[in-house]
Amino acid sequence: MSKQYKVVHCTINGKEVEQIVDVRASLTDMLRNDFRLTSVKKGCEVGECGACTVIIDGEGFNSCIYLAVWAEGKEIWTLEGLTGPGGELSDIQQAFIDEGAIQCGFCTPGFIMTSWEIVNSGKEYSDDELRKLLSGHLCRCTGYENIFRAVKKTMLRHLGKFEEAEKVNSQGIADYPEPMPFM
Amino acid sequence: MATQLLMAKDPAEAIGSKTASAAFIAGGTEVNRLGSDIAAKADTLISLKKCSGLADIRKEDGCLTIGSMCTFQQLIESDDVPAYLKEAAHFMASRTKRNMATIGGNIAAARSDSYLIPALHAAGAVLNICCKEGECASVAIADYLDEQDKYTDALIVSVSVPTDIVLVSKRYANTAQSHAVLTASAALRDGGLHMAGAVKNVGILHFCDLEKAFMDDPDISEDAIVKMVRECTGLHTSDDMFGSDDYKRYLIGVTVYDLHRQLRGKEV
Amino acid sequence: MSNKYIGKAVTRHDAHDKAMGRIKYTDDMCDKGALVIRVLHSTVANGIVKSIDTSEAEKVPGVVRIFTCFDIKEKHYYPTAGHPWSTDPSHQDIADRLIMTDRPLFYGDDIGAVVAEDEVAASQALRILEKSVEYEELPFVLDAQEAMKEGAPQLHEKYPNNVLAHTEIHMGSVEEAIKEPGLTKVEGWYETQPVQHCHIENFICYAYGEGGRTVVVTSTQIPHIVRRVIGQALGMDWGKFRVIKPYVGGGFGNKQDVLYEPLCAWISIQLGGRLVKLDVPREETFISNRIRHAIRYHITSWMRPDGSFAARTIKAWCNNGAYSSHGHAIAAKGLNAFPQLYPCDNIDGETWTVYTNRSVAGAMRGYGMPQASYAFECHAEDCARAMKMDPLEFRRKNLMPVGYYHAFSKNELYSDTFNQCFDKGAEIIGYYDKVEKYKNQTGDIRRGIAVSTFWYNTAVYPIALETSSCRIVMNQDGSVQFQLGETEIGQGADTAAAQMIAEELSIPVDMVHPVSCQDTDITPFGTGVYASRGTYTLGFSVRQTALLLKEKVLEAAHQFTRMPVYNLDLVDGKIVRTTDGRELMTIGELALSKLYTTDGSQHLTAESTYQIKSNAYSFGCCFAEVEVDIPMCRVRLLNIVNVHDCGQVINPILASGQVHGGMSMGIGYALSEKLMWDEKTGRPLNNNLLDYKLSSFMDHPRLNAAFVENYEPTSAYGTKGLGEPPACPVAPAIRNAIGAATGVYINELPLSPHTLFREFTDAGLINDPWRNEQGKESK
Repeated sequence: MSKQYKVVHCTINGKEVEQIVDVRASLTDMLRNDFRLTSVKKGCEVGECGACTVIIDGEGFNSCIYLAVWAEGKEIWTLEGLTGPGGELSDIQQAFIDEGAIQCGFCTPGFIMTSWEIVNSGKEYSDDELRKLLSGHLCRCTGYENIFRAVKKTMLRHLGKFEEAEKVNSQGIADYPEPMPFM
Repeated sequence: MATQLLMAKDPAEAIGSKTASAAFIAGGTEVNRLGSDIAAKADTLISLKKCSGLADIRKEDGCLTIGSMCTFQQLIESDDVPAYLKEAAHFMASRTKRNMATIGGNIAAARSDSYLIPALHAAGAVLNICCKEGECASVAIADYLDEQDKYTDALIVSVSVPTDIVLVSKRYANTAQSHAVLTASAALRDGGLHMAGAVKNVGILHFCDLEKAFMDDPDISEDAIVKMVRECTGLHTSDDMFGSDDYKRYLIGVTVYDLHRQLRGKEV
Repeated sequence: MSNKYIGKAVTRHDAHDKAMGRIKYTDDMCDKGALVIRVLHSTVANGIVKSIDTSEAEKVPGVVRIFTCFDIKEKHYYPTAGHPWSTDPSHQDIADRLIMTDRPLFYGDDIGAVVAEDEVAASQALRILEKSVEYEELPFVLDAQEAMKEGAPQLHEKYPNNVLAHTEIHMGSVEEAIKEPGLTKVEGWYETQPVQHCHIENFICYAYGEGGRTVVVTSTQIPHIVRRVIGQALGMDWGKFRVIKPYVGGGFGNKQDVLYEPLCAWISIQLGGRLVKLDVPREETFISNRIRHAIRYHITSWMRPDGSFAARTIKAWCNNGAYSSHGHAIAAKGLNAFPQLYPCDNIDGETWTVYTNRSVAGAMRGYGMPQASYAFECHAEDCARAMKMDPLEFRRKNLMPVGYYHAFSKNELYSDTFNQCFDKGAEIIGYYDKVEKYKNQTGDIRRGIAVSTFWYNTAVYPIALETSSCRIVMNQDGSVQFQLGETEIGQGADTAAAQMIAEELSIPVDMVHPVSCQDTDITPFGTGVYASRGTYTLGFSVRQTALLLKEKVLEAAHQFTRMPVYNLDLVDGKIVRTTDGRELMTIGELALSKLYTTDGSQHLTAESTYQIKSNAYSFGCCFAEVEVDIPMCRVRLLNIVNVHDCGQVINPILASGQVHGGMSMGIGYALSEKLMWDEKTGRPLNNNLLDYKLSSFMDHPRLNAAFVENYEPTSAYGTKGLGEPPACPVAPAIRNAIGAATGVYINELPLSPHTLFREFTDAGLINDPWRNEQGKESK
């Protein structure tokens, strides 16, 4: 059967757009190919690595398994949209730089999108909760250590806890309580 | 390979358009992924994303009805959804995927490592299903799974689950995001014990014999339970990449025993 | 020497752009009008392609051309390893590969290719094509030792019994040494599994014709080597190709092999130079790129009562998969390490690198040493236990001593580095207290702590050529651009090199601009990054070239200051008269004046090549603390510390990042990762990120990286290799910690729950009533 096309109207990084897409195209394809938003990366195409994460109506999605036509009427943000009109970085982007959370940089855009959602939620998450929230992203370079620090520090700063943020040590040996069964 | 897509406006349109060469697509985490068999075999996908009335959560005394298009994340964030179902939804570690995956999709896909089915099964969830002829029916999830072929053209509209039961679950996987080799749940409801599990590469299992063993002798030993599972001829586990036959049977035995012990603790 | 930039946590030069998502990787640079290539892979593990019927697939709208193995008229066998070329034929890599073959040797071998206008058409055609291949299926073999047996399927004519290489070492006489009375014999088999690199950017390349040549843009670690191999694979002059390496989303050794660049270039040429893109999906990355060698080790040691080694033997069977790639170099690395890590007078060693019908094993972070470290350090632990010695003291006693000199590599252990690393790690993790605390545990949940160490010989001298070239070009404001053949792939090589140049020229580091992307038409020759060689080797050419430039700058300064060169120096971006410290002019004023002067205008540039004839050992250790739930057969990693001596740390934040990443890879290697094949069909079972799992955020504790900095005397900046070492000691440390907790020491990887189940049951830690009864009945 031949291909079928459809028009999609949505808002991308604050701008209303209209685009004809193949109905089977993923949102990743549309954002990369039609809008050249190349921060949206293809890593696995099964929704496991998180490199393609974008924010849709305020929540993080794997755009590689999200159909472009589902974006109708949605408000979409990619990493390109987090940067201010004068090229200003958001604090979470700056924290990724400052904490050495970036190496090859391929997982970085997806990680920053999820982290942006976390730090702007106004909530304070425990270390375990942060790990859970970030676990939809795979990274082979950093071992997640510096990413964890960048997110935690920024979250605390958003909550006005500047002193605590500075105390998020670079490395720490955890003193675990006495043995307990697994959850 | 599917090249066509229909965005159904409502359940009636979705069901009306369902042909043998069409497949429903709910959240997309199964159908849209690379290598998906569903998308390869169908020529048309019927998207339920914009279907009206499929994403509500309604509460009526002791029972909660959840629209089939409710995402895992909605289950977690809802005040009304019982804790046992939230726990099962959390088994999907990736939050970005939880924002997409739906309760109805997870049931219909009936993966052998299903996140939700063991809990729904043990809870005695009832599926509200609409068929092509416009007939609607309420089917116990156990019956639905037994006769899934009968329902290939049917649409799960909602899922009704009890809220006032005691239910415990466990999941075992190599890493937080790996396929689980075993997900199992046990519940006390309607005066009885109900246990179900999802065993990777085997399928969804109702542990009837084990339920009976526990009911007959609540103090039955762990060794006896492990031995029962080891000798169970109706269980078709085998050696595969998720572990040996021995391991899986052992794991089922100790997990089920542990779940029962937990339930008894909660009973008191 | 007080450094201004070396040893400082300089932010990596590309971090800002990466945080904005505007760095261009290969796919981001490719024009969207490119034709799409999908490779047709064999669906048999060993066989002959009898025919491929392309007629149905050609009917798919959007298909441009279908190529099959039968379209290859001239067969140019080529090597794929990212090794420097050797003009001596006996040192050249084995040339056993074709861009498409009618004789597939593994499930996933390349037998054809579809070219289409878009991905959908290419995928549709590929599905049809997969069903249109007629094979003559042949028996296959997946295990290395099985492949060596008589009657096993033979993969390559020139290699009887599938033995690609057999290497031996002999020192002293084991036979005589073991006659010594009172020896304790310790023996073990240690089995490691195949895993994949899993860089998040899959391999991708695209090619097009320009000016009568073919340009290939590719995600690689080794652009200059890629150019040579494309020439060899296509039987054309190397200069006919231009290879461009943009930013790379991780390599870890997979991209130290030539992958699909030759096929992509060939297809572009067949289509008259049209733009074609070959983007490998994740599922194919797992099976048709490269993987880590599975190596089976057997080690025997004879110990004296005082805990010293009287004699040792080692044997290894290295599963190389269907083609040679890096071949025997991987097994040889481990074999050479064996007598050096724990020196002993009497050693026999043998390795066999064996072809099998599995995916091709090549280079992967650690290059055989994660496997060897696992075997060595499991065995060291077993020896210590047999001798009832503390495992850490046992290592201190037997490890390579200070002053150890290796005649072949001319490497020397200059410092008491092992003890320093042990001391530092033990203190950070609280090793001795925890060893005491975790003694005599009972109960279902137990904890353990243990250590392992590693030896790593970085770079490839004296086995192969070590050369590095650098070019530095000065701008009118005194800032510089530099170019190197050592590629930036995420590790931070560009930033480290910029720090060195800033140090040497004494200009602010933000005046030093890396030209990050290599282009074989423009970049000076260099073999790329691998073997943890980058920082060590580039240091020589960077320093030499910066000194050349400095000399030119000071000579030019003489023209404008009238001062003799020997009284001038560059300090903090200024030309300074050393006799009184007076600042005479800024480097910007100098560069501007020199370029625009009507009396001897000169563009200040320097370029040089340095051939490296030295090498350096890298050392370190890992401490791991675990909690084991015995009935549930699960391990929780509580704490982990890696300590490394990589000499002078050039950039602590980037160095820590390297260590974290290696630890993470090591944790996956230890606990969860394993590529598997179906024994009946030879088909890969878990070639996607759903079924194959690297560690996620939830599977790690905080990672602790620490350094011991013994300045490396052979090095341009006192530094030595760090990229691969962090992945080496992790798995054995975790294995030893599980052993310390439970008394069960497991000799295979990964230490997954079902492996633990088997081992715990065998050891009687798990009561399995059914098995007990079965056992009784059989007695």
